[in-house]
Amino acid sequence: MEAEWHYDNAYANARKFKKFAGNHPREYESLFANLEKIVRLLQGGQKIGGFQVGFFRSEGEGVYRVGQTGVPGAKESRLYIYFYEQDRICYVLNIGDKDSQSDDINEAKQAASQIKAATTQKKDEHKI
Amino acid sequence: MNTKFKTAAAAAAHLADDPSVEQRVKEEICRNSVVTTLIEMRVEKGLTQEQIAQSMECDASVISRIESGNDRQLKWADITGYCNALKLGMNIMFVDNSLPAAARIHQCVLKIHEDLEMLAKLATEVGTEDTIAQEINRFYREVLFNFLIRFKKNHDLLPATVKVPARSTAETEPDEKGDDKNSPCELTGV
Repeated sequence: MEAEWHYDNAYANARKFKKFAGNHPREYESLFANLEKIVRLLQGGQKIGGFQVGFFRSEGEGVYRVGQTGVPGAKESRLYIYFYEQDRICYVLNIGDKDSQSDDINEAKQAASQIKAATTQKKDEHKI
Repeated sequence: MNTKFKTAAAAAAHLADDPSVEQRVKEEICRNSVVTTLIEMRVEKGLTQEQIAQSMECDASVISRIESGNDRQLKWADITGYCNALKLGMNIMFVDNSLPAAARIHQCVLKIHEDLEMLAKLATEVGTEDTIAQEINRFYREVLFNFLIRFKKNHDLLPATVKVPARSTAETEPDEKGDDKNSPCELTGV
Protein backbone atom coordinates (compact mmCIF):
# COMPACT_ATOMS: atom_id res chain seq x y z
CA MET A 1 0.00 0.00 0.00
CA GLU A 2 1.32 3.42 -0.94
CA ALA A 3 2.10 6.00 1.73
CA GLU A 4 -0.53 8.62 2.39
CA TRP A 5 -0.19 12.17 1.19
CA HIS A 6 0.22 14.80 3.86
CA TYR A 7 0.40 18.58 4.03
CA ASP A 8 3.31 20.79 4.98
CA ASN A 9 3.01 24.49 5.90
CA ALA A 10 6.74 25.06 6.40
CA TYR A 11 7.06 27.36 3.35
CA ALA A 12 3.85 29.33 3.86
CA ASN A 13 3.65 32.90 5.10
CA ALA A 14 1.51 32.27 8.18
CA ARG A 15 0.74 35.96 8.73
CA LYS A 16 -0.74 36.27 5.23
CA PHE A 17 -2.88 33.17 5.71
CA LYS A 18 -4.13 34.37 9.08
CA LYS A 19 -5.14 37.73 7.62
CA PHE A 20 -6.87 36.10 4.66
CA ALA A 21 -8.75 33.66 6.91
CA GLY A 22 -9.98 36.57 9.00
CA ASN A 23 -11.08 38.71 6.05
CA HIS A 24 -12.54 35.97 3.83
CA PRO A 25 -13.46 33.00 6.03
CA ARG A 26 -15.85 31.29 3.57
CA GLU A 27 -13.38 31.52 0.70
CA TYR A 28 -10.61 30.25 2.99
CA GLU A 29 -12.65 27.20 3.97
CA SER A 30 -13.63 26.50 0.37
CA LEU A 31 -10.00 26.70 -0.82
CA PHE A 32 -8.82 24.12 1.70
CA ALA A 33 -11.85 21.90 1.10
CA ASN A 34 -11.01 21.93 -2.62
CA LEU A 35 -7.36 21.20 -1.85
CA GLU A 36 -8.48 18.13 0.06
CA LYS A 37 -10.45 17.00 -3.03
CA ILE A 38 -7.33 17.22 -5.18
CA VAL A 39 -5.21 15.34 -2.66
CA ARG A 40 -7.90 12.66 -2.46
CA LEU A 41 -7.58 12.19 -6.22
CA LEU A 42 -3.81 11.82 -5.85
CA GLN A 43 -4.33 9.42 -2.98
CA GLY A 44 -6.58 7.41 -5.29
CA GLY A 45 -3.66 6.94 -7.70
CA GLN A 46 -4.16 9.86 -10.10
CA LYS A 47 -1.08 11.66 -11.41
CA ILE A 48 -0.68 15.42 -11.10
CA GLY A 49 -1.56 16.94 -14.46
CA GLY A 50 -3.27 13.74 -15.51
CA PHE A 51 -6.76 14.98 -14.76
CA GLN A 52 -8.90 18.02 -15.43
CA VAL A 53 -10.79 19.73 -12.64
CA GLY A 54 -12.13 23.25 -13.06
CA PHE A 55 -10.74 24.78 -9.87
CA PHE A 56 -7.25 23.30 -10.24
CA ARG A 57 -4.56 24.35 -12.70
CA SER A 58 -0.82 24.66 -13.18
CA GLU A 59 0.92 28.02 -12.83
CA GLY A 60 4.22 26.62 -14.12
CA GLU A 61 7.49 25.62 -12.41
CA GLY A 62 5.68 23.02 -10.36
CA VAL A 63 3.31 25.48 -8.72
CA TYR A 64 -0.41 24.68 -8.85
CA ARG A 65 -3.35 26.77 -7.85
CA VAL A 66 -6.64 25.78 -6.29
CA GLY A 67 -9.62 28.10 -6.59
CA GLN A 68 -12.65 28.54 -4.34
CA THR A 69 -16.04 27.18 -5.42
CA GLY A 70 -19.62 27.14 -4.22
CA VAL A 71 -19.41 30.41 -2.27
CA PRO A 72 -22.08 32.84 -3.52
CA GLY A 73 -20.67 36.34 -4.09
CA ALA A 74 -17.19 35.13 -3.28
CA LYS A 75 -14.01 37.10 -3.77
CA GLU A 76 -12.07 35.20 -6.41
CA SER A 77 -9.38 33.50 -4.33
CA ARG A 78 -6.45 31.19 -4.96
CA LEU A 79 -4.38 28.83 -2.92
CA TYR A 80 -0.92 28.02 -4.28
CA ILE A 81 0.69 24.69 -3.69
CA TYR A 82 3.63 22.50 -4.67
CA PHE A 83 3.51 18.70 -4.74
CA TYR A 84 6.61 16.71 -3.90
CA GLU A 85 5.48 13.40 -5.32
CA GLN A 86 8.40 11.29 -4.15
CA ASP A 87 7.61 11.83 -0.46
CA ARG A 88 3.92 12.51 -1.13
CA ILE A 89 3.98 15.95 0.44
CA CYS A 90 1.62 18.76 -0.51
CA TYR A 91 3.38 22.03 0.38
CA VAL A 92 0.98 24.90 1.02
CA LEU A 93 2.78 27.98 -0.30
CA ASN A 94 0.63 31.05 -0.70
CA ILE A 95 -2.86 32.51 -0.73
CA GLY A 96 -4.39 35.56 -2.34
CA ASP A 97 -7.05 37.00 -4.58
CA LYS A 98 -7.19 37.92 -8.26
CA ASP A 99 -5.76 41.42 -7.66
CA SER A 100 -2.53 40.14 -6.15
CA GLN A 101 -2.19 37.00 -8.27
CA SER A 102 0.96 38.04 -10.16
CA ASP A 103 2.91 38.71 -6.95
CA ASP A 104 1.38 35.66 -5.26
CA ILE A 105 2.48 33.38 -8.10
CA ASN A 106 6.02 34.78 -8.05
CA GLU A 107 6.27 34.28 -4.29
CA ALA A 108 4.93 30.75 -4.65
CA LYS A 109 7.47 29.99 -7.39
CA GLN A 110 10.29 31.24 -5.19
CA ALA A 111 9.13 29.00 -2.37
CA ALA A 112 8.85 26.06 -4.79
CA SER A 113 12.44 26.58 -5.96
CA GLN A 114 13.59 26.58 -2.32
CA ILE A 115 11.79 23.27 -1.78
CA LYS A 116 13.35 21.83 -4.95
CA ALA A 117 16.82 22.93 -3.79
CA ALA A 118 16.27 21.49 -0.31
CA THR A 119 15.03 18.16 -1.64
CA THR A 120 17.90 17.90 -4.17
CA GLN A 121 20.39 18.57 -1.37
CA LYS A 122 18.71 15.91 0.75
CA LYS A 123 18.98 13.41 -2.10
CA ASP A 124 22.69 14.23 -2.61
CA GLU A 125 23.39 13.73 1.09
CA HIS A 126 21.77 10.30 0.88
CA LYS A 127 23.99 9.37 -2.09
CA ILE A 128 27.13 10.30 -0.12
CA MET B 1 7.05 23.78 15.53
CA ASN B 2 5.20 21.04 13.69
CA THR B 3 4.23 22.09 10.18
CA LYS B 4 3.11 18.69 8.88
CA PHE B 5 -0.55 17.68 8.85
CA LYS B 6 -2.64 14.74 7.70
CA THR B 7 -5.62 16.77 6.54
CA ALA B 8 -6.16 20.03 4.69
CA ALA B 9 -8.48 21.09 7.54
CA ALA B 10 -5.70 20.76 10.10
CA ALA B 11 -3.24 22.61 7.85
CA ALA B 12 -5.81 25.39 7.35
CA ALA B 13 -6.39 25.76 11.09
CA HIS B 14 -2.66 25.93 11.75
CA LEU B 15 -2.13 28.69 9.17
CA ALA B 16 -5.18 30.64 10.33
CA ASP B 17 -3.98 30.29 13.92
CA ASP B 18 -7.54 29.36 14.79
CA PRO B 19 -8.44 25.79 15.87
CA SER B 20 -12.13 26.31 15.02
CA VAL B 21 -11.18 26.57 11.32
CA GLU B 22 -10.44 22.82 11.26
CA GLN B 23 -14.06 21.95 12.04
CA ARG B 24 -15.38 24.52 9.58
CA VAL B 25 -13.23 23.16 6.73
CA LYS B 26 -14.39 19.63 7.60
CA GLU B 27 -18.00 20.81 7.40
CA GLU B 28 -17.30 22.44 4.04
CA ILE B 29 -15.86 19.13 2.80
CA CYS B 30 -19.03 17.34 3.99
CA ARG B 31 -21.23 19.88 2.20
CA ASN B 32 -19.47 18.88 -1.04
CA SER B 33 -19.37 15.13 -0.63
CA VAL B 34 -21.72 14.30 -3.55
CA VAL B 35 -20.00 16.74 -5.94
CA THR B 36 -16.60 15.41 -4.83
CA THR B 37 -17.71 11.83 -5.49
CA LEU B 38 -18.96 12.76 -8.96
CA ILE B 39 -15.61 14.41 -9.81
CA GLU B 40 -13.69 11.44 -8.44
CA MET B 41 -15.72 8.99 -10.53
CA ARG B 42 -15.27 11.07 -13.68
CA VAL B 43 -11.51 11.37 -13.17
CA GLU B 44 -11.23 7.68 -12.34
CA LYS B 45 -12.90 6.85 -15.67
CA GLY B 46 -10.51 9.21 -17.45
CA LEU B 47 -13.29 11.39 -18.82
CA THR B 48 -13.20 15.13 -19.40
CA GLN B 49 -15.92 17.64 -18.60
CA GLU B 50 -16.50 18.01 -22.36
CA GLN B 51 -17.15 14.29 -22.75
CA ILE B 52 -19.66 14.33 -19.91
CA ALA B 53 -21.31 17.40 -21.47
CA GLN B 54 -21.52 15.66 -24.83
CA SER B 55 -23.19 12.67 -23.25
CA MET B 56 -25.59 14.88 -21.29
CA GLU B 57 -26.24 16.96 -24.41
CA CYS B 58 -25.37 20.20 -22.72
CA ASP B 59 -22.60 22.79 -22.74
CA ALA B 60 -19.33 22.05 -20.91
CA SER B 61 -19.98 25.12 -18.77
CA VAL B 62 -22.93 23.23 -17.21
CA ILE B 63 -20.57 20.48 -16.05
CA SER B 64 -18.15 23.10 -14.78
CA ARG B 65 -21.05 24.68 -12.83
CA ILE B 66 -22.06 21.32 -11.34
CA GLU B 67 -18.50 20.56 -10.27
CA SER B 68 -17.96 24.05 -8.88
CA GLY B 69 -21.10 24.04 -6.79
CA ASN B 70 -21.84 22.39 -3.50
CA ASP B 71 -24.30 19.60 -2.81
CA ARG B 72 -27.12 22.01 -1.97
CA GLN B 73 -26.88 23.58 -5.42
CA LEU B 74 -27.13 20.21 -7.19
CA LYS B 75 -30.32 19.35 -9.04
CA TRP B 76 -31.65 15.82 -9.14
CA ALA B 77 -31.40 15.87 -12.96
CA ASP B 78 -27.72 16.88 -12.68
CA ILE B 79 -26.92 13.82 -10.60
CA THR B 80 -28.85 11.34 -12.72
CA GLY B 81 -27.57 12.84 -15.98
CA TYR B 82 -23.98 12.84 -14.74
CA CYS B 83 -24.27 9.22 -13.56
CA ASN B 84 -25.78 8.17 -16.90
CA ALA B 85 -22.88 9.86 -18.69
CA LEU B 86 -20.50 7.85 -16.53
CA LYS B 87 -22.54 4.71 -17.28
CA LEU B 88 -23.16 4.22 -13.60
CA GLY B 89 -26.20 2.87 -11.83
CA MET B 90 -27.37 4.72 -8.77
CA ASN B 91 -28.73 3.47 -5.46
CA ILE B 92 -30.21 5.61 -2.76
CA MET B 93 -29.81 4.31 0.74
CA PHE B 94 -31.80 5.77 3.58
CA VAL B 95 -30.05 5.30 6.89
CA ASP B 96 -31.74 5.78 10.22
CA ASN B 97 -29.05 7.61 12.17
CA SER B 98 -31.00 7.20 15.39
CA LEU B 99 -30.27 3.48 15.26
CA PRO B 100 -27.17 2.29 17.10
CA ALA B 101 -24.12 1.57 14.91
CA ALA B 102 -24.53 -2.19 15.49
CA ALA B 103 -28.04 -2.13 14.03
CA ARG B 104 -26.88 -0.13 11.01
CA ILE B 105 -24.03 -2.58 10.38
CA HIS B 106 -26.56 -5.40 10.70
CA GLN B 107 -28.68 -3.77 7.96
CA CYS B 108 -25.65 -3.48 5.67
CA VAL B 109 -24.64 -7.09 6.30
CA LEU B 110 -28.15 -8.25 5.38
CA LYS B 111 -28.01 -6.23 2.15
CA ILE B 112 -24.60 -7.69 1.26
CA HIS B 113 -25.96 -11.16 2.06
CA GLU B 114 -28.88 -10.55 -0.32
CA ASP B 115 -26.57 -9.44 -3.14
CA LEU B 116 -24.18 -12.36 -2.62
CA GLU B 117 -27.11 -14.75 -2.68
CA MET B 118 -28.22 -13.22 -5.97
CA LEU B 119 -24.72 -13.76 -7.42
CA ALA B 120 -24.61 -17.34 -6.16
CA LYS B 121 -27.96 -18.00 -7.83
CA LEU B 122 -26.64 -16.55 -11.08
CA ALA B 123 -23.49 -18.72 -10.87
CA THR B 124 -25.63 -21.83 -10.36
CA GLU B 125 -27.80 -20.95 -13.33
CA VAL B 126 -24.90 -20.50 -15.76
CA GLY B 127 -23.02 -23.62 -14.62
CA THR B 128 -19.56 -24.10 -13.10
CA GLU B 129 -17.65 -24.02 -16.41
CA ASP B 130 -18.96 -20.66 -17.43
CA THR B 131 -16.69 -17.61 -17.25
CA ILE B 132 -19.32 -15.68 -15.32
CA ALA B 133 -19.46 -18.39 -12.66
CA GLN B 134 -15.67 -18.40 -12.41
CA GLU B 135 -15.62 -14.63 -12.08
CA ILE B 136 -18.26 -14.79 -9.36
CA ASN B 137 -16.17 -17.40 -7.58
CA ARG B 138 -13.14 -15.14 -7.76
CA PHE B 139 -15.23 -12.22 -6.55
CA TYR B 140 -16.43 -14.22 -3.53
CA ARG B 141 -12.81 -14.85 -2.53
CA GLU B 142 -12.00 -11.16 -3.00
CA VAL B 143 -14.96 -10.12 -0.87
CA LEU B 144 -13.88 -12.45 1.90
CA PHE B 145 -10.27 -11.25 1.72
CA ASN B 146 -11.21 -7.56 1.72
CA PHE B 147 -13.71 -8.08 4.50
CA LEU B 148 -11.19 -9.87 6.68
CA ILE B 149 -8.57 -7.14 6.17
CA ARG B 150 -11.00 -4.39 7.14
CA PHE B 151 -12.47 -6.41 9.98
CA LYS B 152 -9.00 -7.02 11.42
CA LYS B 153 -8.05 -3.34 11.03
CA ASN B 154 -11.11 -2.27 13.01
CA HIS B 155 -10.81 -5.10 15.47
CA ASP B 156 -7.26 -4.02 16.26
CA LEU B 157 -8.63 -0.62 17.24
CA LEU B 158 -10.76 -2.15 19.97
CA PRO B 159 -9.54 -1.53 23.50
CA ALA B 160 -8.18 -4.41 25.57
CA THR B 161 -10.90 -6.94 26.07
CA VAL B 162 -9.24 -9.31 28.53
CA LYS B 163 -6.96 -8.19 31.30
CA VAL B 164 -4.95 -10.64 33.39
CA PRO B 165 -4.13 -8.99 36.73
CA ALA B 166 -0.56 -8.88 37.99
CA ARG B 167 0.30 -11.47 40.65
CA SER B 168 2.36 -10.97 43.75
CA THR B 169 6.19 -11.42 43.54
CA ALA B 170 6.03 -14.86 45.18
CA GLU B 171 3.58 -16.09 42.59
CA THR B 172 5.63 -14.79 39.69
CA GLU B 173 8.87 -16.67 40.49
CA PRO B 174 10.37 -17.99 37.26
CA ASP B 175 10.25 -21.74 36.79
CA GLU B 176 13.31 -23.94 36.25
CA LYS B 177 13.59 -23.00 32.60
CA GLY B 178 13.57 -19.35 33.55
CA ASP B 179 10.16 -18.77 32.01
CA ASP B 180 7.82 -16.54 33.86
CA LYS B 181 4.57 -18.44 33.58
CA ASN B 182 2.54 -15.88 35.45
CA SER B 183 3.91 -12.68 34.02
CA PRO B 184 1.32 -9.95 33.99
CA CYS B 185 -0.07 -9.51 30.55
CA GLU B 186 -2.74 -7.68 28.73
CA LEU B 187 -4.49 -9.31 25.84
CA THR B 188 -5.73 -7.16 23.06
CA GLY B 189 -7.78 -8.07 20.06
CA VAL B 190 -8.54 -11.59 21.29
